[in-house]
Amino acid sequence: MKEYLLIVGAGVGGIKTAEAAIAAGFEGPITLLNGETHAPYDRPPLSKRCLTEELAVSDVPLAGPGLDGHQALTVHDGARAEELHMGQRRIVCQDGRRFDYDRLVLAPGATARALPFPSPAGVHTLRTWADAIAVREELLPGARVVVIGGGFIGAEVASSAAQLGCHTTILEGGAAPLGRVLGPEFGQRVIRFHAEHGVRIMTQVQVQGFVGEQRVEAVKTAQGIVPADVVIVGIGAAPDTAWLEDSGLMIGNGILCSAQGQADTEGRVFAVGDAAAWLDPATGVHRRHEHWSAAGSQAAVVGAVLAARVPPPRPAPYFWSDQHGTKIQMVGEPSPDDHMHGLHGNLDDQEFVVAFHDSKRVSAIVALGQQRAFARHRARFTRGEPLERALERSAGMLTPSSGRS
Amino acid sequence: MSRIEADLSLCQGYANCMVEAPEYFDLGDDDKVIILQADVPETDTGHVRAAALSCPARVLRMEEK
Repeated sequence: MKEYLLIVGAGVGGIKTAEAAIAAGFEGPITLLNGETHAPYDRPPLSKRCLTEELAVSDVPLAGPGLDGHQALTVHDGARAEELHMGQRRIVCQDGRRFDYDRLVLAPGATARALPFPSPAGVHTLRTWADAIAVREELLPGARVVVIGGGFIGAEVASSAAQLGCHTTILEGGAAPLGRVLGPEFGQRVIRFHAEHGVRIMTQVQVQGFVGEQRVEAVKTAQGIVPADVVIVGIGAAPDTAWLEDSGLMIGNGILCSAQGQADTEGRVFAVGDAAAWLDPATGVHRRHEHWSAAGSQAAVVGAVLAARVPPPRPAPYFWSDQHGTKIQMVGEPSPDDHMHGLHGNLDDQEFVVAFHDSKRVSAIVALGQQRAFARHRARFTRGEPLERALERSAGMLTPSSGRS
Repeated sequence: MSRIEADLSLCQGYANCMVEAPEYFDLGDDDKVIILQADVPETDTGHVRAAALSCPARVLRMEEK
């Protein structure tokens, strides 16, 4: 008997799960519930090309060739799931539509976090196509743009705004943008990199509210008033799991899943993407991984499990960010006490590859630009090259290994 | 047997394909993908297809021959 697969969410997690299930040989009918009214679109361009170019949503489609050739695939746009009844194996949508399943994959995604103050017009978050269009209309040359939060989305939006001729400032709460992930030393280089492209970064800033009633005029901070015509708040996203609280699934910071994405006890319900917190077998901790590549690798595992195949091993976490025409890429997971070791290029240029490591192993490879060199180091890292061998690869690097504090 | 087709104008140099299947993909000095071997025998189809699907820019496609 062919099983009926229902996928809630048509972001990268949902679409890639359908692709992976088809690629693994899943033969049953597949239904995708897209909570948004636009056809499924790719989210990474929203902070980049969608702000700097006049694109239509159809210019950044998400559904690709991997869905071709599957006869029984249906996508329902505007179908926002509201209730899960595991006993009846049923999803009920906001508009009352019901969908029954044999297997269910939850990929509801996340919602941009807002600041706990009233937000006048001109204050935006950026998560959806509609958000991107609203931001794009306001990024006019000469506008004073303030980005709250120096994470990847914030840094990308600031980069796009600067490219459009806006006077752009990032307000970062910590000591350096990306500092929590990459440490203060790398963070200082990010500050300089942005400064050279016209973006000012203020660190250790505590935001207290907004000035302006009809429209935002400034951001109030503990350090002073920062004038603003447009504000973009990029302080992270919260998983869309409120609708699942009474479903019987385990909900923590995300939908708690096994190391293969199974969320229930029967093996019928799985979760992938930003809302899924998979068990990390090495640490015994459930964690969410909010990156395009993480959603893809989770989807590959769940797709294989659904087709009763052996799931592929999960690759090391990888992500990228495009800022000022340069790619920042990272594979692995550095920890705050790791040392930074130059592998390629020159740390004083804006183009280099570095390794983060402790006394036993390389935890991550990070690059600013240098895509080809990064690709080679990433491949070696993925194969698990020993630390000593990895650290020998530093020819041409002027700045030697140095500690982070 | 399948064949790898690539639209180089889309390539952004993520190199996900190269990490998944280094014997089929490389990255050139211009940060664009180089296909080392376009014909994929049945035994390799699985992981080369996975490599194609891992491309964020949807550069790669597998055509049945």
